[in-house]
Amino acid sequence: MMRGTPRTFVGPTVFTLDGAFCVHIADDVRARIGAMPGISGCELDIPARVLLVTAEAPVDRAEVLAVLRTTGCPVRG
Amino acid sequence: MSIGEGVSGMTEVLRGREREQAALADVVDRARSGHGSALLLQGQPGVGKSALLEHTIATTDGMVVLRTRGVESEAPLPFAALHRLLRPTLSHLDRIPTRQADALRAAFGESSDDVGDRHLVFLGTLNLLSAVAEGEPVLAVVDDAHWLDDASAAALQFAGRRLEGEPIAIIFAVRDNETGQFDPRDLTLLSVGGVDETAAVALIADQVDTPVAEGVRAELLEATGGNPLGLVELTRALSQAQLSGAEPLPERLPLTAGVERAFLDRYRRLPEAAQTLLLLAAADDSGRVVTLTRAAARIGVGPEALDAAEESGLLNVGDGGVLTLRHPLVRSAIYGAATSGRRRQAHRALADALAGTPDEDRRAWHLAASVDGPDEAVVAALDDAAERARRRGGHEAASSAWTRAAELTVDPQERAVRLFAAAGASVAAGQPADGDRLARTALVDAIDPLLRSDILLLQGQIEWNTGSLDDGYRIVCQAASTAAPHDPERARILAMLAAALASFGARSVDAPDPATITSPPGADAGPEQRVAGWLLQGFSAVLRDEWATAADAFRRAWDTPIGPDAPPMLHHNLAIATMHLGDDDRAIALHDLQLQRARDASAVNMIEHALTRGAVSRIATGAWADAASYAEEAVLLDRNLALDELITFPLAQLAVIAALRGDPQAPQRLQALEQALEQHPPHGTIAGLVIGLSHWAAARQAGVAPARALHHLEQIKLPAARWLSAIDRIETAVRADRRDLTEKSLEELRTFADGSGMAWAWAAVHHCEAILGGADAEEHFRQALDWHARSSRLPAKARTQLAFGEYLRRHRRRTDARVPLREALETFESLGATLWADRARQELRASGETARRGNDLVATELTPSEAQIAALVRQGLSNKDVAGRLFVSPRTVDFHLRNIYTKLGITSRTELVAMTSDPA
Repeated sequence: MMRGTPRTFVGPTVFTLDGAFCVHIADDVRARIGAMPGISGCELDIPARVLLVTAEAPVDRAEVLAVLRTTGCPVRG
Repeated sequence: MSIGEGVSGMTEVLRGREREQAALADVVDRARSGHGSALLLQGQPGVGKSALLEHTIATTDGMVVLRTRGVESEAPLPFAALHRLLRPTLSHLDRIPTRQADALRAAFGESSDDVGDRHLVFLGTLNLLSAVAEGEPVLAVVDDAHWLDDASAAALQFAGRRLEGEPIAIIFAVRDNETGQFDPRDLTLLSVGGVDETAAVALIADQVDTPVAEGVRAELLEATGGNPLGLVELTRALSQAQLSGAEPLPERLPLTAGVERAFLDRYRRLPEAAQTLLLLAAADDSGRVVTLTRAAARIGVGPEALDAAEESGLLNVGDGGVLTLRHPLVRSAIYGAATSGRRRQAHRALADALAGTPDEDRRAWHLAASVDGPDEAVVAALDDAAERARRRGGHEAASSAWTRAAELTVDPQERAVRLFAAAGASVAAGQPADGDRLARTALVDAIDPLLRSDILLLQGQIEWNTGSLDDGYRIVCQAASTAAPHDPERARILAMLAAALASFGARSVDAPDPATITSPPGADAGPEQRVAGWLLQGFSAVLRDEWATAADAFRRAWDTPIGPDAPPMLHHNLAIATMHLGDDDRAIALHDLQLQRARDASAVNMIEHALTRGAVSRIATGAWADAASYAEEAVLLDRNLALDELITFPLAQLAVIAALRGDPQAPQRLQALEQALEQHPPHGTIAGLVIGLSHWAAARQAGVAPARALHHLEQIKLPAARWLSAIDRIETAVRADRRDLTEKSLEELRTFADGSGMAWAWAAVHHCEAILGGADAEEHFRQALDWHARSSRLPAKARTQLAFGEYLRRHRRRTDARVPLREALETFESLGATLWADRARQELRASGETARRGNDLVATELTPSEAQIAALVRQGLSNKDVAGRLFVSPRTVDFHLRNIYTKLGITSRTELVAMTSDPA
């Protein structure tokens, strides 16, 4: 689909991380994503380069990506 | 020109592109003379890739030109771009192997069959292009390859890497830094940069009637880096006052953003209705005016808006109501500038416009983009799209659709089911890392223990195939334990699988003993459960070197008939279990049956599996020509289908066969194996066998000192591999004067023989006892021969005969010696075992017999591939069928066949078929 195609989700969804980043970015990611409305869980597995975000109410993937980018977390798509 | 089949682009005269034009012409010319290749044309958006492609097409004569392009919003539509490329050639489908033709039809949705193995689509693509090229050379042009749907990208890259010797050129155009699923590695690259100053100045002058100030021109040149689209659009965006330098220029943006802003400025000056229409055109890629106007009508925009949009030059309606945007950047600019609410509205309108049309997949994805939360109807549409994609072999697309469906599903359990389906589809698409991520996600919601167990099994499979065998084993144990309280039968099969992994070397301190996960099946259990229970018992016993238990359990499992529909895991492991006992006849029967089924289903991975396992057993029985042919076919398959991580197994088999034969090529075979081992260190369940065979081959090289050979043989750890090399290990230990290791190995073998009762093992025990040279040596030789008579390991038998003959001759019983020596010589000659045959001949001479010359020893001059093709042709298969069977192109078959004729001194297929003996 086009970049930026609306993509709301509920439940767990995966973001794939590109490359390495430091510990306080990881803390920042957990704090800021965890504070987003509708988000009920945020698990970061750095060795597996996976961020697992769980939404209890519909959230647009683009909003999560936007918040991730503000943290400097290298994320794909 | 259409959005589908055309190459969008600029009609401007090409300026300053001589270098690129020459490079493209060269690729085309080489293809014309039979030296096909693929070229990657790479550059920024607007640099003129499409214009170069257009120019190449326009200046090419006498070639079939095929064209397609990637479309960003088509990512979820499997094989869409490939279908457009090949549509004009589909009338040639009857010229490629039937299975591949069927697979292509299914992939393109022209039949409702399952594609089956996706490699068939890839091979079909290559062979179809090749068939067309037999008439006229082919030029295939793929614009915007970074936006190809994944399945098309995979097929075209497969074909693009196999054009050597084909009169076919494929040219891919991709954006810098944006390759998407398109993996450009190892394609020849042609980078396109900006045009030079002279060309840039001329381009600027083409756009405006008024003179352009020197400073403005310099600024434009610098801002665009000579990018032609940038020069054109940024120049057009300037007012007369700005061009003359009277007014300042707008703030400078990065090139792409600058061009997008120029498009956006033009867009924003349009009436509201025309803007809406352009947004719809940006969100829909079908390029059909009828869809667009229908969607526009849904949100109150009349067809007259199309005229305004067209007048802006941002959109063009061509012949047949096909619609194109000025440039892909128009699409990204307009779509990017719309709010998410407006985008949803556009997608909803498009979905409604597609209702009741055959474009159900597009409709599903527009629906998915139109909702702002869970929606059952949308989920159902996505489920259907996923299922269609799976049938067509579009596993990436199926995975995307199931993932998206899960995101819109409220019920956690249903979500987990969809994510599990998505994970499976990713694995089928050859994307195990994605599959693993999706499986993890599925586990978050999966509550049902049986679903969890299934997901864990998938994760375990991914892990042992691509990561660590030990971790994979631990996860499979977890899958079995999870299922155990709820479905003991399922758990028993999973525990059996775990035990099988352990028997091939998997270890984990965190995993329970698989045998303790379930209780043994009850007396009233069905045959499948009894088989699972015995296999579990057998594999567990192998692990503890309890050979009597292992042999008894395996034999009970083998003797219990189960139907062909029993879980594949059972059939698979029944066959695998044979290797632990060295039960060659059964191994060959079971793996050949598996091979037959895999061939019937054209299941590539299963064919590879059955070939390599079948080859191991044939090495033991001395069916070396067959073993080499199996291994060679597996190598061909691995190379041709990029199953690189599997290739060390058949290469190790070929190295062993060459070493056992004393083939002059043995050192090269070993070297090829060692190189492959460096590139692809073996992992997973084949690692133990590959390493074992490699050391065996190294130990059996000509001229290796006994100590060094012994060092190799002692590094073979897996029992199944130690059994294959048992006689060599003990004989070498004797020659190296290592009494300790001799006795240890002999004891190990005796324990195995005693427990398993395998005839070959007892024969080997007596052979070794005999060569230790005690007073009862002769008695041991005779016993060894008695046991050999009950085993099918011919090479081992001949070695006993040779050793016995040597023993008798040394004891001055020359006449007695001749009998076993003659038999040994005959066997070695029939095996093509040069070195051993020479030894047998020398011994015969020393025993007073004038040994005849080894006329049978003239090794075949055919390479294994040639021998294999010759054999299939002699069975009456056509070139097309041979190609289909071996997964190569008919042209490759033809090439080998011509070499076969030359080597055999014949000129026709009829002569080949009529030859009385097998040329191999």
